[in-house]
Amino acid sequence: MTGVVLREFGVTGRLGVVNPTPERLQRAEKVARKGRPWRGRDDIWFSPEPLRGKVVFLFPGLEADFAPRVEDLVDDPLDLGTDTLGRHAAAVLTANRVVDEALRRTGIRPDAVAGHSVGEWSAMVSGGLFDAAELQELLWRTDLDALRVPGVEFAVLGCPLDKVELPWPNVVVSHENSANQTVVCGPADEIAELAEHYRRKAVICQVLPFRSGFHTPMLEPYLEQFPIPKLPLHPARIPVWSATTARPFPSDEPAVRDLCRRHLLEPVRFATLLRTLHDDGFRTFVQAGPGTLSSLVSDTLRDRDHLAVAANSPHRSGIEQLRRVATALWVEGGDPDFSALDPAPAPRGALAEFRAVLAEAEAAVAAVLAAQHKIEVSTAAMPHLLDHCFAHQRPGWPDESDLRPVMPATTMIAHLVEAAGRAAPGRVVTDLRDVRFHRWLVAAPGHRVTLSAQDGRAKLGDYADATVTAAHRHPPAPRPWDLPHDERDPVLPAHRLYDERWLFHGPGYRGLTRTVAIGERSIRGRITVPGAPGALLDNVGQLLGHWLVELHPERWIAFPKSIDHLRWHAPEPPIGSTVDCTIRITEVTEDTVRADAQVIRDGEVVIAITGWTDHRFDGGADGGAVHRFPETSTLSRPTADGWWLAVDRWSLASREFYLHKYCGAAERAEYDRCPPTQRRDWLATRVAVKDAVRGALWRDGAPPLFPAEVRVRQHGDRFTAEGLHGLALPPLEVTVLRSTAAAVAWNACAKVVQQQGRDIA
Amino acid sequence: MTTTTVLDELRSMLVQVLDQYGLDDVEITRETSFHDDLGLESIDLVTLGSLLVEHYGEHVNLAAFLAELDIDRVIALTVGDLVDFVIARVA
Repeated sequence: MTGVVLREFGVTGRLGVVNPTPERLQRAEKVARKGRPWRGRDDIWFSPEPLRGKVVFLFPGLEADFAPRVEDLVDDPLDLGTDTLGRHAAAVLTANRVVDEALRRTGIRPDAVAGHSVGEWSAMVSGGLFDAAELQELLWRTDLDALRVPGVEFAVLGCPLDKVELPWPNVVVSHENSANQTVVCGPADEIAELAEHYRRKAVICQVLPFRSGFHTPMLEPYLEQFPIPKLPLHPARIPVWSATTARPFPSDEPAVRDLCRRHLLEPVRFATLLRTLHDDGFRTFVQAGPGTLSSLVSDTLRDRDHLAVAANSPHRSGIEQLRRVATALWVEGGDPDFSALDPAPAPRGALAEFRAVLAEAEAAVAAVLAAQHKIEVSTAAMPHLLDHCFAHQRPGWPDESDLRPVMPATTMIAHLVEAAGRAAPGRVVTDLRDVRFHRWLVAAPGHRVTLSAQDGRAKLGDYADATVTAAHRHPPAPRPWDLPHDERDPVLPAHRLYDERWLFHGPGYRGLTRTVAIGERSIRGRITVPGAPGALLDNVGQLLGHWLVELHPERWIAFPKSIDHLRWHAPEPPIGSTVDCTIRITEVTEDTVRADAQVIRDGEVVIAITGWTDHRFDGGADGGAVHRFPETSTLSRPTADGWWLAVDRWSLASREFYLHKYCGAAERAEYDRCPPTQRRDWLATRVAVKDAVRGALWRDGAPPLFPAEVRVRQHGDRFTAEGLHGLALPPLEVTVLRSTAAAVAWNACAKVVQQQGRDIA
Repeated sequence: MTTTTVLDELRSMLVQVLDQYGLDDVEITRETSFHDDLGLESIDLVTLGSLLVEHYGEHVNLAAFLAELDIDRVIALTVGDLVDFVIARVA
């Protein structure tokens, strides 16, 4: 058996595969991805969450096909002959006992036991009411065949009990087997008529090959000779449920004996028993013997959560089938003892080979599952993303999507590495090449993203991808670079980058403890590795940000776009450890900055980075101010006559960036509904209106106000503004003028014209 | 009624029967065997039998069909066998 606890693969639940083949593993993967329970077909078991609940052993009675496979479960040969009814019954009881004992040796123990027909005697033995040896001896001494009611037959009907009509005077129901199966019993000629009748009605009907009259009043005259109800009784060790009453056996001896007797004369109410057991909290139904009892369980409980599994099957050896039961129970959260199922002592070579196959299969399952799985990207699943929010909002702001928690590019890298590592068990990821970040991966609202690693390419949805190399060991490290010659002290100490919001990162990503030195084309800093996934590399990016803040203050906002090559020369330094980072800037253009970097621990290069490229955002000083302190900054400028002028010179990427600073969820939805050609105008107008409103309120002494707190509404040519999420504003009317006069810019002017019913223009 | 139609109809009935096992993506052809490929138990044939009656009427009687077969033939039964049976009864 190969079992995988799927939590490690981003899927919850357990998956078990017996004798994994490539096809079976492929199927298992599909099964696990569907996330629905899968119980045993094609030797695959999957459960997204354990069934919990109690375990009951169900012992089979006589069935037409008797093909026990118990020879490998015992040391000595057994008598399992079935040439007479008595021998058949004795053989069933023997096989049941062998399977029961084998299950218990495997650490599988019932909370209660029950049986079908003569299987109820097995249950009584298993539960302790009867002694196995005493029952055996009694069966040897008894001629069960003398109990046959002459001329009486059983027929199985493929329909529920309430659909059974019995207009034949001597036919009675003997077994309520399952939701769709009922057994009737009566004189052979009436049974033959009945079979004809039901087949005409398209009800499947099969006459059973044994005759007895058990579980019907027809047996009554023969009961005197029948000794079972007189067998010595012992106190039960575990509850034994009766299929006659569908309740546990009573505890006082006369009542037990009476029930033993009724058992022979009254119908087996197996379906009712199953439903009652389920109502009582039983979820795992183990067929503890040969036969098809478990399909009666599935048929009856098909709409309810349950596991039905047969501990013996005509198709494979006793041990092989037990391995399936153990797998099934393990998948549902159980803890069976698989070592008890190890092949009997085999020649050394063969055993080693078996273990190798097992190990290989485990790796294969891991590889299949690691090849692709989904991860939950939400602030609930990844609370660290709350430390990486692009848009500041008022403390306690209720709409998380307005905060814009975004997965850092370096956290995407961490996921790519993790996926690549799982696809290459036993190896370490040494290189990521051509790392591309395609889109912002926003965590609010939460969603699931496919993470895959196949054929050397790791992908996180369509957000990021990279080419991966995994090896058995890390490559040797290069020498740390010589120190740049033009270094000076930085103007800003590292902590001010956070305090003054040059960097927007929260504690999970704050690792820059010191910027050591800065140069025309270089910067060096010290990082204490923070706890969030991918935070170490994120701090390399933050250090690059520091360089931009000091040397390119007109365009310092930048985010990673791609990385040519990342190489790990040693495992990543643990959280809390201190590393040094040196960055060499290789190229600066209007839109990008490129750099190489080394992460160094104790003088050794741990990570070497080539071609880290950031996209630089436009917006000038106003943009930078709004990025840092949106609650006190504006993108528009006030003019002398009371207007606020917003000039949109932004690129598409920048516009997107400012949209989230200025607009709450409802307004962003409006933006999305705008035809693309009108979006520039729409956003410039909102910016101007919000700034005009905030400007007017600030002039009256209002406190800091985030743009998203002001909700702008358009009514034809009129604009009004109101407060959002608890901000009380008087209804404000705003006049807007717009023009496209300048070819490269979109202008919008706004002015508050009415407040609290008075003109203020 | 063509073989293809009946095969398609049987396929969707089988998917209904199999869906309870989460086996809704299995490929079903004429050669698919009820016992070996689909692992149907006799109890599942009961469900299938009532779907057949529901769809084609009572003259498509799986019970009668099965009653004529010995156990080995039942075990070897394929979807194609059932298609032919349905066509014979409907024609």
